Amino acid sequence: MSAIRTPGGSPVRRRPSGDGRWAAILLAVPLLGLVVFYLWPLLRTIILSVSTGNPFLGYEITGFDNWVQVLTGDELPRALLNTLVYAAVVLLGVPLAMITAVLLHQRGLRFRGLYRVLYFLPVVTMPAAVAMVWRYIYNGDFGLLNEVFAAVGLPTTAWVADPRTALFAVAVVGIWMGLGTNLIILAAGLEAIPDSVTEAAMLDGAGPVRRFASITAPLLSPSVFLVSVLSVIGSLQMFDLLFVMLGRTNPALADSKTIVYLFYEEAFVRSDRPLGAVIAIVTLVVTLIVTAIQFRLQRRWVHYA
Amino acid sequence: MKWKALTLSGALAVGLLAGCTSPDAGGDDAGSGDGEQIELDFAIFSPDQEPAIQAVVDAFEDENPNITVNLQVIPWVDYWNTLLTTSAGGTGPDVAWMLGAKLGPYLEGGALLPLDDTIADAGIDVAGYPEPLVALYQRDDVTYALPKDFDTIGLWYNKALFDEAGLEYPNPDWTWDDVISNAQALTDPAADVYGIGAPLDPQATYYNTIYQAGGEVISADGTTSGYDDPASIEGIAYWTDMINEYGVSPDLQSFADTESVAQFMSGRLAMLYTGSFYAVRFASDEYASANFDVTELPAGPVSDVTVINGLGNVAFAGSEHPEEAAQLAVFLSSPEASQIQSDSGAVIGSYQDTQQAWVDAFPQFNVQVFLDMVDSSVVFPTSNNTEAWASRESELLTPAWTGEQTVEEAAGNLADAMNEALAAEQG
Repeated sequence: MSAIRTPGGSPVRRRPSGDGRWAAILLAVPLLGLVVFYLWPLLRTIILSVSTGNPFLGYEITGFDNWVQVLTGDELPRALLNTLVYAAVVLLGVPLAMITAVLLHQRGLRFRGLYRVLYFLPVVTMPAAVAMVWRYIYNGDFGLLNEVFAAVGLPTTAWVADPRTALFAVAVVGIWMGLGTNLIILAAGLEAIPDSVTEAAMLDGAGPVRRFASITAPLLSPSVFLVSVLSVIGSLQMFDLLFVMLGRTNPALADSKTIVYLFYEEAFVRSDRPLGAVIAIVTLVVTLIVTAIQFRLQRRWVHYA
Repeated sequence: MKWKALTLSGALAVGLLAGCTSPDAGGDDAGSGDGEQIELDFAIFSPDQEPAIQAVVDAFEDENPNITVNLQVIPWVDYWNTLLTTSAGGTGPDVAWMLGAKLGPYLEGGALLPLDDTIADAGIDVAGYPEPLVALYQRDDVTYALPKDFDTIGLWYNKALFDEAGLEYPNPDWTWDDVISNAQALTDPAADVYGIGAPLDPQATYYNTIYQAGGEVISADGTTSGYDDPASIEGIAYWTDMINEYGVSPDLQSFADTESVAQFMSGRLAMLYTGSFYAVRFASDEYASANFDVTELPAGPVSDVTVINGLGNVAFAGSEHPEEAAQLAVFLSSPEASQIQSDSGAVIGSYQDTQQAWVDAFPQFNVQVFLDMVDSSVVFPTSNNTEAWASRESELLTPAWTGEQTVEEAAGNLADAMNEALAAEQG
């Protein structure tokens, strides 16, 4: 690849070309997609959430009965709590990813590429396949994990069928699956930290731990923030792992159901689209609130160099 | 957490569905309005049955050379949503498989064609089908589907485990007490063998015993729950006692990890109540084929009935060729189609005297019992919006299975939820 550079490295500046009509046209294309595939469905969802009817006869706006039914029901608070617990546990994957990223970034590490491939493999594996393998690992009667735990004298259980452990067992898989993506983002963040800063710290006599705490962690914090936000948004939408790993007659399901699982039950099992629409909007609002809180908190710990 | 491609944002998913329901798109793309060559789309959900159904379709096409049928197999997990969404949106198939439990919204929406005239034209004697299944697809004396097949529940058992324990095999005269005493004798914790499997499975387990105890899942007029009936509670307690009282079945957690049929096929369970539909799987497994057999359901306090269920073929009112669609739907459930399906061994054809081939397909099992039990069968319970309450059953009965609640308590909660759903469905 050869790039033409202007002397002195400064890019050629163009004059603004008049009325910006081209910009408007080019921006309209993705905007159209946004309107057709996001804003319009969102509007329809909101209308659906205050309607009742039948898919064949159509839906009519009838008021907020659906909202009352969902908000006063006993299923939503439980699902919200489960979802937040799940998101919080999966968030523990961020420091894990950070440590792994720093270890992989070490100078002179052999087989770095191999490690990166290995850590990224879960990301490119089908979630359904991943869930099936983990189901076997977690199996209460014949599972690998129980074999290991029993051998070293730890307590065993049916990990994904025991209401006390199921959500956490699924969260471990969530962390494991998300690690690869988090690593990619954090590795890019590490690359962006200038060697000169690290070297200066070394000359000042800072050891590896001190360098991590005072140099790497603060300079990496924008990437860590991004990873955290994406991780939480993904967790709030968790459905597939629960669907494949627990199944509909699992005794732990009632205590592990997430909001999106609840949405699935209403909209697709019971075919009550309006109730599903209410839950979908609740999910959106919860996601907005949690993300807003994260943005508020980041002022305290994210350092933009 | 990058599995975004799969977890569509909830808002988007519902919104898209809503967006799809504008009924402007035409149904068929056959394009020949001259009545010369007609194309019909026909949706099913079982890849296992595809060869048999294709043979039925071929027979139909031979009789009606001007009609081409496109057979579409939609996987079970997507089937019901695809069918509901596409047929409501006017892009659905002309003919499709239907279950009694899913029928309600289609009838309410006037989406299905009445088939009575077509049945009469075809000269089919409806008395030849199991009566409760015919009624399953009728509303106000109008027939919307004929059953194409049926399944009943039997007591499957593992002969090898009975031999080891020195016990006689189950026979049709057994009662609940015989099941419990034999299960106790068969249970061997040291060998990790249980006498019976007691999964939380309506059709295979507790629906049968609810009716055998004289209870009911739903009242005859379909307006109230029968779960708080003491007899229904007795029918459920039969199963929960297997786990919590007698310890002759693995617990619910175990079945969540490894489904009951898989445990049965691995020789861990000596007995299992399950359907005729597993004959194919058991016959194709070396161990199960050599060791399994089946007998009629043991009698409960009141009777020895089994739950009967069966698929029907419906034709959609939105079809561009309603007449031909109705003909196809009726043919797919005709005696001829029944014969072809029984011959394939995949399912029991619905029409009388066409089922011997299915029995003959499994010489190693006494599957004749599944036919014998039809005379004492009750139809799979449904209402206008079955899923509204049926989807709560597992969740609300789970505490009874795990022993956290008494059966009375759990069944009472389910009855409350179900009555609420039934009241909503009355409008």
